[in-house]
Order: sequence, then structure tokens, then C-alpha cells
Amino acid sequence: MTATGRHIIVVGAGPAGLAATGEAQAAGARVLLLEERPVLGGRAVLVPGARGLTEGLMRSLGSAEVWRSTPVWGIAGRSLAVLRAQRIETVVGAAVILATGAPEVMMPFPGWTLSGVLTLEAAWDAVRAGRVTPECGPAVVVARGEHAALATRLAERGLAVTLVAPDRPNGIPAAIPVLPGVPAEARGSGAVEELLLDDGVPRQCRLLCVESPRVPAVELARLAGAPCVYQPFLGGFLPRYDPTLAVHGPTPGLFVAGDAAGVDTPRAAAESGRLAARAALRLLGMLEEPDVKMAEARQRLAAAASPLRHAAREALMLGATPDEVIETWAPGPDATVCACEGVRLDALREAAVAGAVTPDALAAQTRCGLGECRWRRCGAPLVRWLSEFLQVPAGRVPLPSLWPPLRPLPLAALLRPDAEVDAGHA
Amino acid sequence: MPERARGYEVAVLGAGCAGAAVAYALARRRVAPVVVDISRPDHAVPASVAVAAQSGTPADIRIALRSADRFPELQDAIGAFGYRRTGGMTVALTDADAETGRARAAQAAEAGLPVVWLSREETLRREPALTDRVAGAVYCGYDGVADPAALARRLLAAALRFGGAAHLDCGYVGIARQSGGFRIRAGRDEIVARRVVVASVETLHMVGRQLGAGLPTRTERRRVAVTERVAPLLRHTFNGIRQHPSGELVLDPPAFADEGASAEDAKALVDALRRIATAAVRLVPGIQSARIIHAPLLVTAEPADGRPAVGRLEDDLYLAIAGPEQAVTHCPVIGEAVAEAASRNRRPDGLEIWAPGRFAVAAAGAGAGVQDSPQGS
Repeated sequence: MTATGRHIIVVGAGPAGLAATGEAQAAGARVLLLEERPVLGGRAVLVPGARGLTEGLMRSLGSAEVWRSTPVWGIAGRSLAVLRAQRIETVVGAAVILATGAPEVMMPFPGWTLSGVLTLEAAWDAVRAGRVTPECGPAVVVARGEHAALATRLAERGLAVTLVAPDRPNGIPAAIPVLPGVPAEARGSGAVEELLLDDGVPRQCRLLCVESPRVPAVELARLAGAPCVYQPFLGGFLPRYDPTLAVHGPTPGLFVAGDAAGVDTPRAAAESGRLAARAALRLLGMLEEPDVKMAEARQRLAAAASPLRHAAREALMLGATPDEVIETWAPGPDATVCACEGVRLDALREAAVAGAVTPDALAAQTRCGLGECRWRRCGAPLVRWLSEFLQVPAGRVPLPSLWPPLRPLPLAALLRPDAEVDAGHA
Repeated sequence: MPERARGYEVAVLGAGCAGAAVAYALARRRVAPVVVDISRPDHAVPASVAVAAQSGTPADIRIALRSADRFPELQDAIGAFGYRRTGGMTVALTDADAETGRARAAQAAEAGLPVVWLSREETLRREPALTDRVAGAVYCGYDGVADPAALARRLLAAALRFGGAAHLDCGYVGIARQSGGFRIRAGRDEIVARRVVVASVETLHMVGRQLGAGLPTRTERRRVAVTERVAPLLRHTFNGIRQHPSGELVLDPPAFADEGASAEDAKALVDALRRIATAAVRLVPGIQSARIIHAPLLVTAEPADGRPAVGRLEDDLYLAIAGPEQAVTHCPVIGEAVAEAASRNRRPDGLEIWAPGRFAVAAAGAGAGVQDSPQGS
């Protein structure tokens, strides 16, 4: 580490990344926080109950350097390649904390690729950006519990809203009808026009918001060489990490925090960010009373986490064997699985019957996963389907090959000279 | 444990393009082969490969033309593998490059090969997307593109239709000599074969360890960039740049070997991509706005002098070894030559420069490195 170098780089400004940054800078470390989106707060800003938490965390950033709209697209050791203001830069930290979160990944069903079919996150983004007007309705929201709050917000915006949920969640106004069921098919030409639930009755619908499973974003950790393990309670494949959230693999000083280390509550994400920051500080010799501080951070994480997930995370930290669950998931044969390349399930099934039984082999035959999003949308569904199709535990389905750049990289950006890197930061 | 080892006339170790081509050619000769591979070649990089007939010496070009001639009928016989004859160029930007190119074209023309030098105007007429700073290009109309994954898959499927067998995804392949042939362990199965064709560098190394036979190889690592789909822009393959039928641009400029990608620094990755982008945009300014979505690090292995090693190595052991691009470019010739050798003991015609024995000769020489064979054939 040079005198002008950065002590800690934090990737992702959700609750975990914000908490890690605040904790590290308060201990006197030079911290750089990288966030792909223009706003801080991550997905927690979309959960009404977590807004107070993220606002408090944002106030604790202090002197930390924050780069917004800066996606990380490559990693080697503890050095990261980023795209910032259409320029390429590389940044190096003595420790790196990956707090990349867990985006919602829609599980394909017939018609899910129509425009107007959104995950809850995407719908909240549209609401916040003011892109949702009464003419966007009628809307159907498929969500449970506190996530159904989106239906209330859409109704406030003047849309006709129907909520699909097993029962009426708390706080949902009586004016919003609630139906049981699951979406079976969305129909329309180009954009969604009607929705069929499993009762087979078509209902008019121009905006369909579907609560979807959150899948940890482990691409950076995988690119850094971290071995991954399947833990369905925590959202899917996760990098292996030790009780201090240090990632197993070739690179010391690499940590994972927040939903990227297992989907949990926003408060648990923040506490795991603090734990990772303290572990990184301890590694750099910057943590006073390290044993006390580490034990305290672990206790706070245990208190904030949901019990089942905490148990799963503890097991992972202690080196639990991969979960052997065989997933059951199969949409209709004409459901599109890979939206980028328009690959349907029947094409995948045909290739798999012919012997292409790994994601890479399926990609070579069908182009599944080779589009712009590079498996971000179809990776998790494909693993589940392969698990069901082959009757093997999902954890034994090989993950698709992964190469940089993790985000599309304009050739023009590569032609511009380096921005001043690492220098001038005292 | 296997109940009983199955017996075959010929076992092909390696199911890539070369191995599958040999299996197909054998199966058509009614010598049903068994194909064995540790994994299943899935070509995680679905990039087309140039049938680069205009590179190399006249002897190399002559062999490449033989394959180029057979691709259309091969595609008719086994099913589509994305083959198109696009024509290929080596574009010169400087006067010095133009001088070298002109000399190469003249030399090839003298040897009676369909390789010509295109003037600046003619180059731009054929490939309007090129920068107007081009000085000219060496051109061969026989170059093309093919999808290696589809090619290997179609060849193997055709071989199986003609009675061949396959043991893929074995996880482990071992080999031992026994009287009258070889005993091969393919995962849990055991196979007996009178003759063996080694068709991948990976299995060549295994054979080297277990039978003590082999030849020198070299391994290269290089970064290749694939962009998002863009509107049809490029008609030819030139200087490692091509457009996949899907619309993706494949940027694989030559001479960027060994990126040292093991470095613990993202700068090595950035530098490699900068060099690729700079070289590509200098030739085709119009692709500036395209975005790279995939930049795999290819690890390729081939015989140490860069030429395929095809033919009999010793006794009943045959080779069909080539780098991944050469395996596609030459697979019709490789398949026929090795099938003829392994089924009828015929030495392949006109493939002397590919003879596996060339390394033994070079090693017996004054310890000098392997020389390129003389010009002409």
C-alpha cells in the first residue's frame, strides 16, 4: 500500500456498502465507495420501511470518496477496472469489500418479456422517476406482505390496481381488490395487454409488477476466483467466506457483505457491512481492540438477521457442504428463458436432450446467455431448470463461464487516455 | 467396473473439430470409430473462425485451399455450420506494410495461387467500412467464416449416424499399449482399439505422459473481444476482425499474444482491451460506438511451429493436432488424411509440411529451432 493509495474500496452503495464505508472512514481509513447507479441507497430505498436506515447511513459517509454512476466491470486481485464518465480507470485497494447486492430476477413465464412486465424494483424505479401516470394502468401487482406497498403507491398515482396475493396484506386500502393466484401468462403484442392467472380468466392489464426472487450478484467475486456454493435460503449461489466475511480464493483482503453474502433484511445487510469493514480494518492493523469489536459486530449481525437466514449464513461461514436440494421449476415450453437472445425453453430442452447439459454447452448451441445481460436474467432460472431437468442438486449444476467486462464497455471509452489514477489522492 | 471392454478398430481421442472430422471421415469409410473426450467441447466462445487461406507460405495456402474447396459440400452433407465464403484480406495501413503485402501477393501469384494485391480504391470498394487511410490489401476470395461449435457438433453427429460411438464427458482418459493395440480407459468405461488417433493437444500431453510419445507444443493466451450485435457492416474477414452472422463483431487482432493475464492487476486487462480497441477502430472507424460485451481469455495450444501435426506418429498411433483456428480451417483435409492413413495405411499426399516426424528430424539436427519449411511445395 502506498502512502497515497486507498485503504479500502467498497463496491455497491446499498445498506451494506454504506455501512462499511461509514465504519471504515470513521476509523481513519481512506475509503472509495463505487456505485453503479446515480443514486445511493441500493435497493433498500425501494423498501419504504428501510428509508430511515439508508438515510442515516448516508449521513455517516463523512470524508469517504464516493463515485456514483461508476460500474465495476473487471477485477484482478484487489484492483478493479471501472467505467467512470465514459473513461476507463483502474483503482487498487489494500482491501476490497464487495457489497454488490441481490437484484430481483424474474422467473420466466409465458409473456414475461413483454414491455410493461416489471419486477417490483423496476416498477419502484419507474414510480420514483415519475414515469408512471394513470394512463399506464390498469395495473396488477403480484406481491406479498410489505412488498405489496407498491400497489398502494400505484393507486395513489391514480392507476386502477389489482393486487394478487394469498391474503390481504396489512395496510392495503380496501379500495384495492385482492385476488389469490399466480401469473400463468401475459398476453399482448409488444406490450402486455391482458394477464391470465392460474384460474385461466383473462384480465385487462397494461402494467404487471411481479415480486421476484432476489439473487445475490456474485459475478465480481467469481471473476476474482472465489469458489461458489449453492444455498437456496440465502438466494442461490454465494461465494464461500469465513466468519469475518473474507472471501475464500486466491486473493487475501477480499470481503463480501450485504445481500451479496446472502439475501436478508436491510438492517442485517448494514450490520454485515460493518462486520466486513471491521475485518478489513483489522487486516490493515487499523482496528483498536479488534477481538472486542469483531465479536460485537457479529452479535449485532445475529440480532438484525432473520433467524433461518442467520443459521444458513453461519453454516456457510463454517464451511457447510453445499445444499443438495433439487429445484423444481419449469415454465411452459414456449416461455422465453433468455430475453436478450429470445431463447425459448423448448429450444433449451431440445439441446439438453441432445446432450448439452451445462450452461456453457447450452449457450454454444442456443446462444442462451450470450446477449447483453450475460446471464444476469437467465442464469438463475436456467440453473433451476437444469436441476429439475437433470434431477441433480442445483448446487452441482456448473455455473456458466464468466469473462469481463461485466458491463458493456464502449470501444470509444477504451480509446480515451487514462484518467489520472490513484495519484492526487492524499 | 466395466463388464467387458468394447473393441473398436480406431479410437479418436478428442472431440473438437479435428477429432470429429477424423471420426466422420473414418465412419464414411465404414471404419466405425469411437470418439473419446475428457469433457464435452462446448466452445464457450461462439466466435466464427476465418478460413484464412491467404496467410502463410504457398505450401500452407495450397492445403488451405483444398479444405476451402470442400466446405460447401461438407455443409451439404452434414448440415449447416454457418459456413460462408466471405473473402479475406490482410489490410495494409502503411507504405511498408503495403510493400510487404505486394511482395507476398506476387510470390503467391507466381506459385499459381488465387491471391492478389488490391489497390487502395479496390480495397475500399470491396470493404467500404474501412478507413480511407488504407494503402491496399492482400486478398483471397476463398476465405470464409464458420461456427466452430456447430461444425464439431455436426461432424460428430454425422459420424455417429454412420455407426461411430462416442464417450464424452469422461472426466478421465487413460491409455496403455497391449498386444495388438491399445487399452483406453474413458471414465468408467474401458475400450480396446487397434489404432489410436490423438486429436487434441490435451490428449497429446496425456499420451506423452502415459506412452512416452509426443511432439513439442506451445501454448498461447490472448484476449479476444466480442461486441454487441451491430447492423451488417463488414463483408470480409481482415486482420483478425470479422462480423459474426449474429451481428456481433469479433475483434481478434493478431500479434497480441501472451497478455500476461495472470497479473494481479486489472491494468493488464485494460491494456489488452485498449490495444484491441485501438487496432480495430484504426481500421474501421465506424465501430467506435459499439460496446464490448464479452472478452474471453483464450488459451490455445498447437504444435510448436504453429503448423498442424497430421499423420502417423509411430506404429498404430496417429496424430490430428492443430490449433483451434487451424482445426476449423483445415478440418476437411485433416479428417480425410488421417482417415486414409489410419484405415488404409496411406500416407497423405501433399501434407509433408504437416508430418509429425518433422520435429524428430529437427531435434536430430544441430539443436536448432524448428525451421519453417521452404517456400513452395
